Amino acid sequence: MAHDILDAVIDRIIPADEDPGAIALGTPGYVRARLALDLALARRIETGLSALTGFAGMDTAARDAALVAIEDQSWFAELAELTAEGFWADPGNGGNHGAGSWAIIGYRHGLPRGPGDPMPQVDDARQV
Amino acid sequence: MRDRYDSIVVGAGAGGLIAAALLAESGRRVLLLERGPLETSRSLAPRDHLRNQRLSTHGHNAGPDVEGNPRVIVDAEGIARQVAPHEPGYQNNAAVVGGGTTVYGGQAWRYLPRDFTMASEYGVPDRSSLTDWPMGYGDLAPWYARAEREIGVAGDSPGTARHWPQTDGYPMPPVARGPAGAVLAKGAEVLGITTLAPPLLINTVPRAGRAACIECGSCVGFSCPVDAKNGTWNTMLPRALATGACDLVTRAMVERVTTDGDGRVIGVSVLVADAEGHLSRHTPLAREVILSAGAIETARLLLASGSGAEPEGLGNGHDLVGRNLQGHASSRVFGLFDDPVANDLGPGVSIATTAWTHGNPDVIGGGMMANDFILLPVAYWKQALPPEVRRWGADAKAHMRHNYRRTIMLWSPVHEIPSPDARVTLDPVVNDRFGLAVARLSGRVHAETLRTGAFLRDRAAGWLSASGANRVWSTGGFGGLSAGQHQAGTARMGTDPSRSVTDPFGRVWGHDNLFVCDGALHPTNGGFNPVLTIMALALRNTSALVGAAVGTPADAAPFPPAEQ
Repeated sequence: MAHDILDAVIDRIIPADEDPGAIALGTPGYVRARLALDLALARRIETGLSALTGFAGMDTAARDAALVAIEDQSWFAELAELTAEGFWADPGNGGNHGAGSWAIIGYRHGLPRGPGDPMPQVDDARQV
Repeated sequence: MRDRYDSIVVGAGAGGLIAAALLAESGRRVLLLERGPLETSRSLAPRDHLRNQRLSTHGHNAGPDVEGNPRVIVDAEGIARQVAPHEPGYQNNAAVVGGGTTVYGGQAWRYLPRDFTMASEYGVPDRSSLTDWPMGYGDLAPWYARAEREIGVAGDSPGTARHWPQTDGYPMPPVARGPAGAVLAKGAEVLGITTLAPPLLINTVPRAGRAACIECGSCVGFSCPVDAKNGTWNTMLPRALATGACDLVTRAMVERVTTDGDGRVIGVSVLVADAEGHLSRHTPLAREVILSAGAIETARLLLASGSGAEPEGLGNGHDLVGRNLQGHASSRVFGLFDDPVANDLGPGVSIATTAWTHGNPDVIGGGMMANDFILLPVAYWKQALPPEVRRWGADAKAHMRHNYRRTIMLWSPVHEIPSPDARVTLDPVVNDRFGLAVARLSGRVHAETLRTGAFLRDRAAGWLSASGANRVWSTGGFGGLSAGQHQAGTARMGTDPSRSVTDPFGRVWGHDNLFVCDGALHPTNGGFNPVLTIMALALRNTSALVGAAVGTPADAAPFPPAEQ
């Protein structure tokens, strides 16, 4: 997978603005972990990325325009969805470092032992 | 596991754990079989926003295992395909001790009196199997009260008493209304409709040795971080085990109900996995067998247990087992407000109305309507984003930033019009990891259900607009099969053996010792979340089985000593 191009596209899927974007929160790591489990999708995305000629040399406006032109292609829609789910999900999934996306929208997990809060033991049942 | 029991209960969910507890308290020796595990903090702990029973993007947290438990679904064009438990269309509930009650939101509604008489109220539409219940609300009312008390419901006692007769008052006060509830209450005033706080199976005050809700930010779909949710696993399981007469065996997949040469039920054949996953087959005998595996799996088990006397499946002499599968088809309707209306405090559901349950113009029935449980950020992304918002780029991020806390979701469990074509059968090709024929789901919701659903979607939009929403949209269109966590109807009760699967107490017609005890019994599924009705029926029917009267502690009921 062409790392630089993949990161560059993910950067435009959830860009930094006054708040951090996908790159700052480590979302590419989440996307790569998912693609390692779905090699067919990984290949389609790689093919799609390779067709984005000259992307690395574009400014952000040109990059966005290039993505608008291909946004209906399924590989891009699936990449965008993976990026978004990693970005907005719990930090344990690896794409939302420090729960940074939750701070953007004002969501607090409210769990006494952190976002991966365990529940009480319910293991006193008699097994036979 | 012993060779011989008084009672075998298949499935430790909302219905089965109540049955097991009451049977054991009556002095019976009970075998309780659950195909899922008994969860502990290690196995059910992770609050994975992408793998839970509410949002199962890549898996879920309360079973069944994603591998080895497929179903086959048949779409409107007749195309069959295999799906995994966490995938759309599987109609999953849960597979774990406690069933869905481990992770539910716990809305604890009674059905309304008119929900029990749908056919009499509205007539029977073409191609539907709409029918009245074989009992009235009044028959179930005292058992609803027992469920509210013994499992533990927090609710708005005067609000409920305005709409339901024969209420006893809830043992705990209702959840706080919150900012969304306050906004919707103003809209309700504009519309002239009454509202109430939804009853919940959640401790709002410390009760029964467990804590009160801490209003965390992730509720439905997850187990409670302080064990404030009242399910059957933390109320009825301790009661069952305290008798010393109930053996719980987990990772136990029942292959079939066993019968003797005359077709009489004598026990079950069950595959039990040990810690290494090795299976062993057991064939315990029992005087009675109670199926509480959920509407889909209970039907599958009846169909898979055909005998010489009943080759098409137990209780299936009239080709009714598995039919009338139903749930609560519905849309999600969202309203966007100028000011923040959603806070980050759970449970989130805080206001409801029964205004559109019955008496609606030109549609059959209706449904309760309420705001929803706290919506996780990624669930908002997946389920709430307005359809016209581009799903990438600066605008999508800005939408989340600006609107996440300004959005209210309304939802309504449509009282479905049952269709005999919506059904569970045995798939002729696909087997599960145990080599058993999996459930094949086919058919679709009745056209009248769609009409009622559209009516309620429009009422939801109207309530949001009256409450000050500056725009309203809906997502989650429906039209295929409906079942899911509210699955019901596949072994309906009735008074006529040719038109129902069980008698009015869940006893399968033609058998004196085979019972169904889950949502499969519901002839119709009400315009409300069904779990309190499943619990009330389990209390009523099991009490009848052991000869206990309403309100009588089951352990005081006269019954012969258990066989050893």
